[in-house]
Amino acid sequence: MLRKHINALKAIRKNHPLFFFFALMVIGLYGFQLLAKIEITPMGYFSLYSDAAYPQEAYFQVLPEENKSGKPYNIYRTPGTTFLMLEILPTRYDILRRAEHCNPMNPKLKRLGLYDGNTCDCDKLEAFHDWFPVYLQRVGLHISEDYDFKNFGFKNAAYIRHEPLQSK
Amino acid sequence: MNLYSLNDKIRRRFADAVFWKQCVLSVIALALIYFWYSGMMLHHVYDSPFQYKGSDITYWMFHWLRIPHLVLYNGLTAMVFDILLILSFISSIAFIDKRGFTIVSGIFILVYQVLFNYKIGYPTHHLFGFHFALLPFYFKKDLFQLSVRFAGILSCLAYAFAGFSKLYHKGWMVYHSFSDILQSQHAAYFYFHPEALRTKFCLWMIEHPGMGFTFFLSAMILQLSFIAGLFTRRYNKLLALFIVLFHLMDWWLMNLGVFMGMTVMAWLFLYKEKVVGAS
Repeated sequence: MLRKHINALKAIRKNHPLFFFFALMVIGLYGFQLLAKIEITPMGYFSLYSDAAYPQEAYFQVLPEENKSGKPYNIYRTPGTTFLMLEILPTRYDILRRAEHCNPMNPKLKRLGLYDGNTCDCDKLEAFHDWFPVYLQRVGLHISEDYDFKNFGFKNAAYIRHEPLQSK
Repeated sequence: MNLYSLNDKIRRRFADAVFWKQCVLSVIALALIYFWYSGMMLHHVYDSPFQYKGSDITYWMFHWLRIPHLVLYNGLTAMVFDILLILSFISSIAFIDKRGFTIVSGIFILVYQVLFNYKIGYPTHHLFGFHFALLPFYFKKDLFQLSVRFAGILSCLAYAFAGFSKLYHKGWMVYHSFSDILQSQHAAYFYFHPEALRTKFCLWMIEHPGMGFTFFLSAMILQLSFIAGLFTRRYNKLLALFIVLFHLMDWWLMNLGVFMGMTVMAWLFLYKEKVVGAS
């Protein structure tokens, strides 16, 4: 069976060299990214949730808190899959602001002898707190000016406690 | 109409590249309209403070070429791009025989993907299935079947590697792991929607880790079964069904309905090269 496949590949290389080169380039690029572990590619897209998870006292999620109420802001009152955006945006803000030069891929870039030493991404990111209510308004929600992001802990549909975001 | 002629008609349809092209382009156009409704277009995020580049050369190229500054110059330019993106797919359906329109749509959706990720600070991956599904329509007729096979192989690699990753990282060896994944995935959702059907079902699964374990193991085996698709087309119908099942499960259990558009890749496994027994 292997010989049959090898012969088929040889025939493609002979009859359609450009397509063969294109296919090789795509597979090679994805393969390199996978081996170098620098970025998730189609070969690693669904590998999320591969690691074992263990019981915790609370399961945390970064959410806005209005008027120091101690209660999480409900981001699930939105149309379609907007709630995913409202889960992703604060979480990524928290990850990026704590990363070296606000690029969480820097440790992986270093392995390849590269480095993102930009000096402006972190400055720009400081505007996130002001921008988030603007985005909320675009998707039909409103939040008071006196809000902040907190790490809210839940378990079995119950609110447990909240913590401030980790410092940089 | 007897069963034989119905079967024959389905076979003819499944061998019709134009039929599949219409299906794929329509699904993507509808998905884009849904993304608009969900606040996921460029004009929703054009002014976000993120400018994520990560370690992917594509993002850096876009950044160096100042493409984000051009497309996301202001809300209007971003909205014009979003409209053109959707219109490009509608035009591709209207001019189904013109390959150029489909290539332009493909370029538009790639630009959209990179800029969207750039502005939300995260390399989302709910669009790669669209690229795979569109790939065969970029090529001339003599390369069409070969490119269908190649796109099918890429899809198989995506799922098979995911299964392999689960196997390698040993999450499946921890009995209650999936229960904790569900708790983490829906932490706030459960709190805000305690009466929702999804909440009740997931909480029941959390209370019965054996069910969660079985589900997780089944998903891993389902993903690993795509290895077969790399070597033979014998199980293609089954793999098409697996794609749909996997994303239905992803939507129901993980609340990731945004990935449902990926089911469009199933066409790569349903396309028949020849109509056997057609009269």
